[in-house]
Amino acid sequence: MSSRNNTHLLEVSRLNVEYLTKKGTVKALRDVTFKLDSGTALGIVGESGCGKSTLAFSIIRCIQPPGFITSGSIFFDGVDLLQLSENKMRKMRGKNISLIPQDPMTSLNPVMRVGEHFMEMIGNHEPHLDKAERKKRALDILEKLGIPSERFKDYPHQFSGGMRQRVMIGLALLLNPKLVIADEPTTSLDALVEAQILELIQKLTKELSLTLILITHNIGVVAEICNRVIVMYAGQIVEEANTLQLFDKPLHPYTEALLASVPNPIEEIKKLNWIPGSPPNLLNLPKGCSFYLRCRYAFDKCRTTEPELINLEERRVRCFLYERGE
Amino acid sequence: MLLNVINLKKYFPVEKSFIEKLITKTKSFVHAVDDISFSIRKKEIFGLVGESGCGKSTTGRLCIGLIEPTDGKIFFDGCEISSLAKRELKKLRKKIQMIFQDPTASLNPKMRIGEAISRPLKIQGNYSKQEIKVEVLQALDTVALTPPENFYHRYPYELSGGQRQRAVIARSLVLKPEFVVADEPIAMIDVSVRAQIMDLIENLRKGRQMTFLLITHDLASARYLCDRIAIMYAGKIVEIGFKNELFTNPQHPYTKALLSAVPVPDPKHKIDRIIIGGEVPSLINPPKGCRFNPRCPYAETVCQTVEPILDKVGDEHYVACIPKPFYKK
Repeated sequence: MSSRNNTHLLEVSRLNVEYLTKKGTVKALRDVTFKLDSGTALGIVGESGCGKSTLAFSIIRCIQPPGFITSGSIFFDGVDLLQLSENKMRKMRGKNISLIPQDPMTSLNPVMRVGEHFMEMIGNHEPHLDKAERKKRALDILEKLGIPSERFKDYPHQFSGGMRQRVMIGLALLLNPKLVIADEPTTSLDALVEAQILELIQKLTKELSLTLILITHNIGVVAEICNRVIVMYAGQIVEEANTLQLFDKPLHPYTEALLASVPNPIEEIKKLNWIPGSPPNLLNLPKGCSFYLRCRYAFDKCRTTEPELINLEERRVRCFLYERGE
Repeated sequence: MLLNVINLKKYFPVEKSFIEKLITKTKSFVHAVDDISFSIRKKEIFGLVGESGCGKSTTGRLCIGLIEPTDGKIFFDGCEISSLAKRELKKLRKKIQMIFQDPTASLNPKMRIGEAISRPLKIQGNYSKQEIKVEVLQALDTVALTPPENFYHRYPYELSGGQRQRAVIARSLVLKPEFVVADEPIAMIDVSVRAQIMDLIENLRKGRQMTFLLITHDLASARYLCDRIAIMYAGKIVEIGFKNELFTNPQHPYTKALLSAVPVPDPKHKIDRIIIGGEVPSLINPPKGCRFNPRCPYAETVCQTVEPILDKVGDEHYVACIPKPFYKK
């Protein structure tokens, strides 16, 4: 199970996640398959409820009941994370794969000093280090993030939103993980602070040659930071491409419509498009393509048959328009 | 001018604990809105843009008379809002309405959509049941919740976020107001339907000659929708101008930084970003002089002591900055 002809850092295949609710089964992820090379900054975009956060939490195996990973595999560095014992998985989290969560306000323990968060994390993963060494490592990373060392003993409530997000980034990078997953890292921040944090993430991914998965609904953030993009809709990958390709020529009708609905601050726009209707109910998915009700190109086949992800040169798209390799 | 705001101030007192009251006698205030003036023309969409806590929502609430100003005057169509008695204010509300930020929180979950939209008509009185129903259906139709009969009997939870926002807009339209304050109308809804809400606002302006005060933190959508934009920082307006002038020729260092901070949805675009350190100051003890001076890369000594006023730099383009580092004569 563990050995594989492996050139990819992360290989997710046929991943299915379901939430068992009172009303029925919500299919949050459906057959999600992708590969990630090391050094890539992958953006995962989509609207709320498309499964992008579920995907992030699945990779670190933090899906809580009523959510369950029902099938699939997640190979990280040649190891299937879904087959690991909980104990081994715990050692993976933070050490090899780490998460920058969406909301820095609720992600820190309010009764623990900021420094203790760092000390505890090093202590858990590298118990052989003594206290002085732990503190040195923690202060090193704080310095990289532009947090003055005298704030080591402060409590989270004494930090502003932007500073807290810096702390979360620091915790995520503390043990030099190979893969960092950032779940909407700047959504709750103001414009100027967002710019600071984006700049910081970019600088650090370069310096530490990290592999990044950035989950966001902000198309602008993806354009700026990522070199590869996955577009998700209703729990499925609908398109994957290089950032330049995707923005240059979006293939999937959803991607096309999504890009056309975002105003660009640096040019005057006469007309924006919007997508009629709303995403399908994941409790009760329609037959056929999940986008066909909102799609301007939909034809009969889309109503009855579900399209597969089609491999094109360097990119993939889930749409019948591109069958026969066109 | 439909709306005239003159030297408007709103200070909120800071609540103190009993012990703090015993120790200190001085009262402290949050200077949420501190001496701002602007006016909005008829049929204009005027944008008030700034980061959270800059006082833009407070300004919106002041403009429709939801809260009373500490100082300053607001004239709507020549009539001063802040001096009105409650009964007169109620009459005025036929002409002035508000769209609140969170469509889920501003609809009563136990009230059907039709009922929620008919409330303003019932409160303003003098409509028969039949008339109310006709008006509500018409409002639903205007915001493209069609067929309206279908949505009339639904509950808010049966609607998507975008539909709920349109229901909230329908409620603000049912009295056929002249002026609407829209407080972050697209912040809580998905990207793909934001443009729909923006187009709806634009069509109302054109079709019904309505005037809007649009409060937003999203510069890109402000550029898409507004005619003129005022940029607020820490309770002050730092720059006002026509949108294209403001976006292509920003004069205040804060405006410039804010514009450069917006991620551009184009991977080929090279960003020449001005990174501003620090965060928005406390409004209890705002910095002396220019409020942006502690973070401003162009600050001079004069900025620490002298409070800048709005200076004319172009056609209806005003900026509150003393050094004006980007100004070319």
